[in-house]
Amino acid sequence: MLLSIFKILLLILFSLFSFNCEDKDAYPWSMDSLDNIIVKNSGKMILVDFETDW
Amino acid sequence: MDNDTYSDKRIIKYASENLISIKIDAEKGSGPEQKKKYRVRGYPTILLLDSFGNEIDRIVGYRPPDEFMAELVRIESGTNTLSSLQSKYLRNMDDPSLELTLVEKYIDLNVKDSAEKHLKNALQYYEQENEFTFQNIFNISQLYYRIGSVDVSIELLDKIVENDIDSSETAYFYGLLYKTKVSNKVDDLLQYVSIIDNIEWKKLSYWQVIRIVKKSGEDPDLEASLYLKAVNLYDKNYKYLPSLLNGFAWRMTELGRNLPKALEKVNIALEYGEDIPILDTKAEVLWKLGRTEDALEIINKCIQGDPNKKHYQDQKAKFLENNNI
Repeated sequence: MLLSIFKILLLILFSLFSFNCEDKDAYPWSMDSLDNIIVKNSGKMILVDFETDW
Repeated sequence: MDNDTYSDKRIIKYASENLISIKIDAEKGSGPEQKKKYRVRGYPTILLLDSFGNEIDRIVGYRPPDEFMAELVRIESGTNTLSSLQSKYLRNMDDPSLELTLVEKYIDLNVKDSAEKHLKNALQYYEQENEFTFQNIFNISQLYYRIGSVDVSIELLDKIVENDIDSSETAYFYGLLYKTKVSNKVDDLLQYVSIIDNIEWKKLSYWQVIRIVKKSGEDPDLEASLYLKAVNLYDKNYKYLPSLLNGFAWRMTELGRNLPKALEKVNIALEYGEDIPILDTKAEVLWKLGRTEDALEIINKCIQGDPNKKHYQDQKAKFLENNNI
């Protein structure tokens, strides 16, 4: 029982830590594919930046 | 764009709240297929799609943060997007300026057929209403040129000259410029450029001739001398001067011509800031001038600045291989 509570506490602490470490100064690029984004249909406008390695 | 526009706090905030953003490598994975589907020609091209994947509008080419922000807000508000212009057009189909605004939009979206249809409508309107003025016809000729219909563009410019409509000299110049592009014969344009004073026309003429001469590869002396004349027409306030001078200097190393001038120009470019690719050009110029030790010193700076770039390592190896000191 104590071990479970400890695990939950660890999880909460880890989540808080991860949240605080999120880079809020970086542009929010999605890693999803365009097709998936369209299927999910969030209602938001989709920005697609075509680029190359050149 | 990553270094300034996508790092701008206002853009990041706006994108976090209003957009889902992805990058697509146009040459890898599904990139080529998406590139074809959305008719992407150059980079960067930024599409704004609705949540069903239909294109609302696009931003072509680099934009600094302020301009990019303004474009995002415009597109989101539906101002001057294709659908808003089409709606306006359906309410008023007798407005040639609206036809031409639609043409510009279709050119941006790379939909040539629709652009051409509206161009024909506008031209027909001007002919019927007897509004065959220089500005109207010149404007249409420029738009025909942009959609790749160079022959139609030349025909219209010739009409302006034949009818001696005001500013027909401008029409003559652009007609000559486009005819040179089609024929690849540079003599008439070169003769014309030697007698005109208009700096902008001179620049356009030189670049046109340089493209043709470079492509043929038959006259490196002419290319080098025209390139030098062209870059000398730009003053120090020109926004892209460092890049222009860098391009000139590198080309001179390829042609093996004007090398002292190339060094002079690359040094001017470096006065605007120590840019690694420009330093790389300077190293190449110095090496071509036989100043291998100086070239090595500069290329070491490039390697220090960008240690992972193979080109700089290759350059250093090339300089060392030919260093007899």
